[in-house]
This record gives sequence, structure tokens and C-alpha cells, in this order.
Amino acid sequence: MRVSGLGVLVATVTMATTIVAQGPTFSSRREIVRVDALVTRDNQVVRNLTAADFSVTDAGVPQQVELISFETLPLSVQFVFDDSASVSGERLERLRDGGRAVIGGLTVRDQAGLLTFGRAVDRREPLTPDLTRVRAAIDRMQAEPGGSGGGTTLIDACYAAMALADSDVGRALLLVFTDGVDTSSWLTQERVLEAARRSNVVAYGVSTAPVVKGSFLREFAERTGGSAFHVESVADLRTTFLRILDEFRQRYVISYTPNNVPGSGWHPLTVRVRGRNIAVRARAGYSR
Amino acid sequence: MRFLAATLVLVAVVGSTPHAQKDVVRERSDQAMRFLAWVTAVRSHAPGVVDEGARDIATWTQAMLNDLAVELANFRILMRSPKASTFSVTTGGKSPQSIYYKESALQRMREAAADLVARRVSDIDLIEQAVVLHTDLAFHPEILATPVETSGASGRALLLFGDGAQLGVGETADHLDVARKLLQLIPRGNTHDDDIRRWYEGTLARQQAIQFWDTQHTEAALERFPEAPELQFLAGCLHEVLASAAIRAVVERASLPGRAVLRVDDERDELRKAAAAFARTLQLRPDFVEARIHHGHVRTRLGELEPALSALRGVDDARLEPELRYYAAMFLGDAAEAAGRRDEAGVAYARALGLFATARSPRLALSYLAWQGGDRPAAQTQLESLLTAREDSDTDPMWGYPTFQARDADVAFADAEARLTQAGPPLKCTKTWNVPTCE
Repeated sequence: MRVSGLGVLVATVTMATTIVAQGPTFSSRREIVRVDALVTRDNQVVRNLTAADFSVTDAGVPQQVELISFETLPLSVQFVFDDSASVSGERLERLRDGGRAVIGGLTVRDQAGLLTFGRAVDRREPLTPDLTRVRAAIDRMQAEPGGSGGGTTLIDACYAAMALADSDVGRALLLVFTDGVDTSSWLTQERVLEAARRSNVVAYGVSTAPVVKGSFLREFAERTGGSAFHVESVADLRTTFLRILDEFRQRYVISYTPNNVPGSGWHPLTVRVRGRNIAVRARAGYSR
Repeated sequence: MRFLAATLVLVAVVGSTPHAQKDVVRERSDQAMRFLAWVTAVRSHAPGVVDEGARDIATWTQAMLNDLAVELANFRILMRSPKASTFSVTTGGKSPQSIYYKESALQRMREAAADLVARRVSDIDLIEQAVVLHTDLAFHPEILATPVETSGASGRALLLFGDGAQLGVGETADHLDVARKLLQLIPRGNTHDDDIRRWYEGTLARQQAIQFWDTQHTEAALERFPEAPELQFLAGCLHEVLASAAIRAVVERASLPGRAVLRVDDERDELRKAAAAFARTLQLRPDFVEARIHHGHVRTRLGELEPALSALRGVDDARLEPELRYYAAMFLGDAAEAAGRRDEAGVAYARALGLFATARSPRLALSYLAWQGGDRPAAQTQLESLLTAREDSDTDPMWGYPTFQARDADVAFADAEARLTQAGPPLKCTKTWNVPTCE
């Protein structure tokens, strides 16, 4: 099974065998769409739902869904941390502390990695199940030296993290922290938000700057079905990070094989759960 | 407030300036003695050096600097008519106001004027040397680090920022404004015009090199030399930077003193101004390749893709500096990608990567192209190459794009100052009881 890169899981089954030597081969593909959804009632996570509780439409067409037990899927947590010059002193120490707390909350089946961004995006530790390596990389993090050569490549970093973490297996969580706004990315906000439509990852953003509607961090997180949080103080980073991990673990993963839907293009999704005052947060659609 | 060499500055215009409109004091002996100290500092100043005299001038307030105009006018009269003893000044459209000096002060002025005449130093020579002094003060980091104004008299506020955040705000005396006013005293249409145009080129380039973004100085340059392609080009670069994310982030959150206003328009208007300036540059000098590259990039950002592609195609030329070829390739790729011409974009990005193999931007661009094409493995491969590059060896000319146009600023600046100091080397001057004596 492989993912097509469009936010779609594709199961490939080779149907045909060679008919004649040097002749054509034929194949068919069966797509599986996976949707990561958070279900809440009065801001409390709703537990113990079954597939029958969900109704999903793909481009307005109801679909038959299955529920994947998230306990069967390991997590891939990609830290995406701002290490520009302003992230120093207590801010850096609190960030490290938050990262270490998240690692402490992972299991032996999970993996993690660390990307940092200032003037450039750097991979401090690739995704690995060896969490001690990631913890050590977080401990080694240093703010970039100050000066006119600085910059914040938040948009480039989010794209790189999303593209690298997107995978067939497991559930990918991007945990993005910044204390500012993008100032020097090559990629544009519009392009990366468009790219997010083709990804299975769920991004959560945390910033000491306001994450107002229209800001890249908020739009990026919401485009993937995640959320963005503003923290008044870096002292809140640890609890915010742990809250995100807890929330991510309690999301439902539902899947379906698209039936009677248009071919290529943008597919708007609606995910609903029966019951009063229930809110579902999931990505708004996917591209094929 | 503290200015650091590595910080960036945006210039804001401060509203009404009470000091500038203040009536001139009639008895001006103190001002005359201060003026003579200024003459000494001017005549002993060596270009590029902040010497003792210059340091003294650096402590003056804007009001003290503005005062110089009155004594300079009277001093020029004394150079022509040593026996002159009555003077007047007109300010703010009022009737001329008589001013006078105590005899001792007037005698000092006469002696200093006679000394210049005897040395065959003209008033224009003095003014040009003064321009150099104030230009050096305008750019000296230590001087910039010493705010002497808090009253708004300078007519401007400086907003320091770094990486999209405001770091501070404050006022310093505007020595570049003093230099511009001095240059206005030089009659137009003579052989000095070329020197003055070069001065504007050198100072604008140096401002951009140190990321000192000043619309006021740029407008003054264009007002005096609207047909100079180099000045139009630098004006375009200024507006292009003012439309960048790094500046927008600061402008949108700027906290300024009450009467200060940042003269920065919204992003699209700044881009339009940049496009207009680059277009004018190319009208004046069609072979200005660097302006063509900037013009193409700005047109892409405005969504005018076909004109952008026309500007950027065919720019690649082995005789150009590698950085310019790189920018041309990256911006062509960007325009082609926006226009849906993925193959052309891929070729352009690959050409940029061929020029700078460790550059980040082309790999990001190629990865994104692959991702949008549904080729996730190719997208990831490009990222792997980017992220496994040695951190200490990576470089990306794109990081230097906002100031690349000012790469020769030091040469242009030194050349401009040299042209203004052709009257001779600086004199060795000393002061006794604040009275200058020059060898």
C-alpha cells in the first residue's frame, strides 16, 4: 500500500499478468482516503465512538467509513522549532523543556525528529524511534547569532516538515513553534497552504505572537485539521505541548474508499458525528 | 536606544518641527563662534574619518545644525565683501530680520573668511567639504548610536528592527539632510552636477548596503536627478524591499512616537512603485540587466506573469555575475511556475542549482514542484539533499538579494567623497578658546 501524495492512501493491486511477451501490462488501483478527526462536546473529547457514529461526505457524496483504531498506529512527531536569534535565554530553555516533555509522553512504538528554522531550515535529527537522540538534539539547540543575516523561514520549514513526515504508515504530527513571523522564506504562504491539501499530516502551531485569522501558522494548522495556539508566556509551552500531544492521541482516524466521486481536483470533505453539541475538527478536503 | 551595525533602520517622518520655525535670534555672536568651530571641523576633516572636530559636531542638536545656514550665508558675504557689517535673514516668509554680531565675533568671522580667500578656497569648496563631513557623520555607527534629539526637531524618527520585530525607536540629528541642504547652495547646471549625482548614488547605495531604508533621501535624489537610471534603479530596489515580508511584519506592528509616520505604503502599492521605477530605469538604459531582473521579479509578485516572463527569459548570460544569473533563473522559475509552466520552471530552478550547488532555495523550489506534481519521493529526495548539506558550508545568494544591488557601495561612496574634496587635503587645525587656527 502506498500514499499517492495527495492526502490519499492508495492500495495498489496488480491485477494483470503479462499477456504476451513485450506486450502491455494492465493494473488497477484502489484508493483509500484517511481522515484524522477530533471530536469534542463542550470542549471535552468524546470517546468510545464507532464507525457507525460517523457520517462522511466526499464532494457531497456519502461514503462508507471504517474506523482505524489509533492504538494500532504509531505516532511520528516532527518538532519544527524556531531557533532564530530571539529564541534564546529563558525562551530557549522553556522550548527545550516542552520538547522533552513531549518525548517523555511517547511510547517505544513512536518516533520523533527535530527540524529547526532561522535563516535556513536545518534537520537536527531525522525521524527516528531512538528518542534519546531526539532529546539530545533538543538539548543541543542554540539560537542563531543575532545580526542582519538573521531571518525566519517558517513557511519553508513547515513545507519541509510536512513533505518529509508525510508517510503511508503511522500518524504524523507536526508541532511547530515560533516567536515571530516569516521574514525570509523562498516558498510563499499560498503555495505551502495549497501543498497542505495534499498531505496526511496534522499540524499544530504554537506561537508567542498572536495567531490571528489569516496568519500563516493558523491557516496552515487549520488546513491540515490541526490548531494554532497563542501562548502569553513561554512558561506555558510545556503544558501547551502536552495538551497538543494528548489531543492528538485522542483523535479518531477514519478511512473510506471513495465511491461515486469526481476524478481529479479538490474534494471537499464533511465529517459529522451524530449527537447534540458535538464538534468535529478535520481537514476540509483533499486533492486528487 | 542603541544602534548596532547589524540592525536595520526604517526612517519615519515626524510631523511639525517647532524648532525649525523658531524666530532667529537677532544677536548671534554665540552662533558665530559655533559656526567657526564648524568651519574648523570642515576644513580639517579627512573623508571617512570621524576626527575630533567631527565628534564635536556629532553632539549638536538638529536646531544647532539648522542654525548653521544663517552664519554660512553671512560668511559667504564676508568672503566676497570683507567690510560687510550688517546682515539680515528671512525665515518662514516673514519680513527680513536684522541680525548682528559683537565686534570680536565679527572680526573672527572676517579673519576666517579672509584666510579661505587667501588659500584660494571658494565658498563652494567649503560647502562641498562640509557635505563630506556631514555625510561621514550620517553613516558613522558610533554617531548613529548617540541620539541627541528627543524633541522631534530632526523631523524624523529611526525605527530599528531585526528579523521582522521592532527593536527600538529614537531620533538622531539628520546629517544627511544637512548635506542635502548644503548641496542645494551649489548652482545647478555647472560641472558640479555630476559630482552631486555621484554623491546621491554613493549615499543611496551605502544606505541600502547597511539596510537603512530611507524614502526621504531617495525622493530627494530623484527630485534632483529624475533622469538618472542608477538612481531610479536604487529607488526601485528600496520600494521592492519595502514590499518584502521582513518589512511588512515590522510596519504592521510599528510603535512610533506620537507625531511620527512611516512613509511606507501597502505591499501592492510599494510593488507598483518599484515596478514603475524599474520600468523607468529600463527606458533610460535598456541594457541595464540587473534592473530587468528586478523588474521581472516585481511583475511576478504583482501577478503580471507574461510581462514578467518576457523580462526574465534570455537574461542568462555567462558574462554576468553568477549571483545575477542565479536570481534571473530563480525568478524565471517562479514566474513560470505561477503561470503553470512547470517544465520551464523546473529547467530554470535546475539552472540556478547548477550555479550554486549548496543553495537552499532551488532545492526547495524543485521539491515543491515535485510535490505539487504528485511525486512525493522526488519531493523528499530534494529535501534530503537540502537537509544533509553541511551546515557550515551552506550558502544561498537569495539571502543577500535585498542588498546585492549595493555590493559596490563602498567604492561608489569613496568615489563620491573624493570628487567633493578636490580642493585639497584637510588642514591641520587647532583651537584656542574655541577659536580655530589652521596651518
